[in-house]
Amino acid sequence: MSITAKLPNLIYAEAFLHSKNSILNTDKPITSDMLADFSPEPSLIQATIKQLSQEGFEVYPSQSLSTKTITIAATPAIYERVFKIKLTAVLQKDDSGQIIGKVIRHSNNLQWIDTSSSSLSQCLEGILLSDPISHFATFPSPFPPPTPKWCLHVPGDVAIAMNAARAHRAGFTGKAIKVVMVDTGWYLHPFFSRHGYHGKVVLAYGAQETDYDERGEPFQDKMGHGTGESANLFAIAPDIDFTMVKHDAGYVNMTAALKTAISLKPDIISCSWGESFRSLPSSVTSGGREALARIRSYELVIATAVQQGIILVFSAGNLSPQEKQGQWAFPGQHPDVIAAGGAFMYPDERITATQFASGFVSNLYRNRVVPDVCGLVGLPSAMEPNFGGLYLMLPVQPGCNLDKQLATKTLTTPMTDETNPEDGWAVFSGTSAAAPQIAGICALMKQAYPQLSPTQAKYILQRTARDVTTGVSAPMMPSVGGGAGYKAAPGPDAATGFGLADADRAALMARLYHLAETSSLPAEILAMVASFKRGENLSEPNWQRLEKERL
Amino acid sequence: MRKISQSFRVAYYVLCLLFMGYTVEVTAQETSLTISAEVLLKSQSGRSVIRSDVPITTENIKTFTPSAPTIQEAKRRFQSLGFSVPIANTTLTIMGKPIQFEEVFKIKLNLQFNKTSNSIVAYPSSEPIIPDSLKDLVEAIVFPKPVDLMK
Repeated sequence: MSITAKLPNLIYAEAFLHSKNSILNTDKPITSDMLADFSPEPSLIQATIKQLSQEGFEVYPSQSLSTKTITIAATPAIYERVFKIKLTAVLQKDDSGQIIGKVIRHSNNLQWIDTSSSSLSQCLEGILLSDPISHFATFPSPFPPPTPKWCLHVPGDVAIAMNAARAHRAGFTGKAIKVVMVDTGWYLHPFFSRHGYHGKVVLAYGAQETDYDERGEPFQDKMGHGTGESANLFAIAPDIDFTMVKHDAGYVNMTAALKTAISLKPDIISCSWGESFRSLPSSVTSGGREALARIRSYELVIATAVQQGIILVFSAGNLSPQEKQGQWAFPGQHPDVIAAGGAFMYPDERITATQFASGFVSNLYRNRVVPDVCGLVGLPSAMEPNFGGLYLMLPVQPGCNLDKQLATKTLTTPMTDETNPEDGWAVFSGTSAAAPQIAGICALMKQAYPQLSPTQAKYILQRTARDVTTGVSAPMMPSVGGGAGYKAAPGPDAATGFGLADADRAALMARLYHLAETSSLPAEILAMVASFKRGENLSEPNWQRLEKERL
Repeated sequence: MRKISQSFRVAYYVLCLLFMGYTVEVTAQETSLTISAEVLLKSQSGRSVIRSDVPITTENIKTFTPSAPTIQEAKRRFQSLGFSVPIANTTLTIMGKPIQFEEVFKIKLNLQFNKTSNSIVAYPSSEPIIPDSLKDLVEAIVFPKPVDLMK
């Protein structure tokens, strides 16, 4: 199986020099006693090196002048000009669909490039383009690398911590629910294929791409963000009908990307990005009017989508390294979206608010408290507060920006994620991770209750979340909580909203909503559902009864 | 002393390049890349989108949406001005060369080209002027700005 791809900037090859006997045409194995018959004249070697250099090739001759071949490198254009050929690049996949390497093909019918019609015909009998490195083992590995520091793995740990594993056992896996993520792309990591996760990639309106696979889909994720965050989504809802809308490389026209997602008519959209707006821009200045128009542009698109019944989940914002305070995330604070904040779960299952995640009372929208509920987000490091969130081990495209950046020590980031910069795994966990986790729970609820509206989804998520009563969210500004951020306390608060979302209870309640409308439930259960809808808390024994009966 | 100063300057530029992702300023004439913008259309109800002092939500969205004929006519007019319109519904996404935007909306664009991502961001130096031929349909042109990934 092959896919057309972009040619590399530099192509390496072995150039075979003329000798007494042809190396390329011999049908016998070349052994040490025959070497003299295949050795070129030393003067020919020198002349060939000179001529290759004149034609623009980089030449890497062997130290020995009895060399049989010369390693060369040049741009595709030089090969095409000198040898009068046409080059194409194709990506090769293995049987499971994993990309295993890029191969350069040429228009000659031979295995090697024929040099007879080139200026080098007197020197060279042929050129053999270098094969890609074949990995005899699967690369990147579907297994995360071991790290000294404790972190959560996908899908298992995240599914347990979000209480999704129990929902899966009850049959809620997000089956056939259409979920779209708007992000940097989706690399088909073996992690996904080995788990049986499926998806496709659609390019956002206005985005440009050079590398496509045989289905016409862009397959690269050079940042790694979308690939990693999608693993959070699959950890909660493994059977969803997944689409990644790949936005433009500069993250510029996200309104257009969002409209692309909406045009796919999904049930749920997950977005792990945004701008920071602490207050409504002033319409007095030109810059303010421009920012205000940008906000209104997003609002038009968001309100239209939610009115159509699409559930929108946005990240609530992270601790900003530049400003040393939390982002006032927009569109995360728009009242029609579900704002996903952050809570941290320790190995002993204690849950706390985290200063790596924003929590705030919006100045744009009256009575709007962000977040609504939380997903799993890391704690900022005491050693390097700007480099927090090393909590979730996620698959990424090998050697992508995040793979390298998080694995490399710099002056400003003395800590690393303790993975290899080219291994296809990285540890990161801002509220970017929370949004797809919450979107995944929405998928479970939608499967349980197909009529679920965006308002109902938010309500059920909030009323089934696990209250977080300790810890502090990101500092937002000096006048908020003395500059230290909001404290988590019993009941809803601005640090974690209603708390850490509970996938099992959310799916269970959505199922009861469905059954209450479509079949006859026992009166006692109907009363529980009615009381839940009125905003009354169900007692723990009642929840346990519902979980036990699994209607 | 001079050598030390030069070394610091070189180090400063290297750091700038590393942190800024190789962003350079280009002029509209220099680039062949396209940029996009969002067009806010006049609503069917006559209520202004950009002068609204209330946020747009599901509660009031119907009063801010343009009519279907407005959307189609605006699409046609932008196309006749040389823009491509990949999507036209609540807002119009229009695409074209920076020079087209400068000429049609009588603005000067500060164009930041990022070599790493091969992308361009347009910062208008003044507010775009809606040409007379579009004034009956268009309320504002919005040049989008890059967002942050909440990683």
